Amino acid sequence: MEYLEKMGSWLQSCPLLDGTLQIDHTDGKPGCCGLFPTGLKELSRREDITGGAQATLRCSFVLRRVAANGQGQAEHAGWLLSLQEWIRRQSMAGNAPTFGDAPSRERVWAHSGRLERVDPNGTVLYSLQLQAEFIKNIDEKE
Amino acid sequence: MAKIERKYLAHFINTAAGTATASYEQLGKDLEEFSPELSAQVDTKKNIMGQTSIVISSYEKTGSVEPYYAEEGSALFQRLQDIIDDGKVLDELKTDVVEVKLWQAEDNGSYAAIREEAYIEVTSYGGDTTGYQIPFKLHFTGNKTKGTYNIASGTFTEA
Repeated sequence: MEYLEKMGSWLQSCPLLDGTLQIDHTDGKPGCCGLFPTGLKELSRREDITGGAQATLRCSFVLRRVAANGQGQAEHAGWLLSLQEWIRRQSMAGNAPTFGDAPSRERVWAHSGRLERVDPNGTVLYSLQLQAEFIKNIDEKE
Repeated sequence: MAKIERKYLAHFINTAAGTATASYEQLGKDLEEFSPELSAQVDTKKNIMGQTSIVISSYEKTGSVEPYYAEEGSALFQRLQDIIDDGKVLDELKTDVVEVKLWQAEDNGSYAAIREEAYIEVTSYGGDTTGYQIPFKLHFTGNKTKGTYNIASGTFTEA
């Protein structure tokens, strides 16, 4: 939950989301967005001679946005790209949330924005994949 | 018989310079390997009867600490930085290293240990974007003392 809350709180500050972000659900109405976790993966682990270790982790999320079908699809696609660029710039400037124990070596990025599906109720669902890669010190007991 | 894990051979370096009271700091954070090389002097002779004699007469032991990431507040980092800043040479580089056998517990929280005199050679400083690095090499003199090391108090007691 900690990672989801951190990512959600940070995205709430994005002008493009304008307070519409919900965590782990959407109410399905055009204009609302939901942030969902999709998993945590350990990419690598390094041990040192004292028995300590560091793991490089990747936490993945998907952001979904509901829009009304037939209204400004190009605008919605452009919105996805703009959000992706905002995330990239914030991460490079060091303004992304800290997930691990080596803040200077973390990064957050977004990719694979797309129209996910068209619903029969007249709405469409866009999605954007978000990922955060960071390093965590591992306690010997873990 | 169980294999001994690497973490049970601990290395502590004296960060105090000169005649100050020894203050030990453990080597090994971020260090995936520390393997002092013994570099033995080996003389091999073959006589006319076809017999081979081997004489190992001495060692020139060295150990490379790489990578070493500088950390604020670390006494070892401060000692290394002083060597760089002041261009320290000769006995200003003298230290001692205690090797502690953590699989050999003695009484009162101490472990079997050997203290050996060494000299610090800072090989470079700076490094890449992962952090400020000061890799260094330890040149051991062979002047050893057997004893015990208490982890809690950080003190070496001669046997």
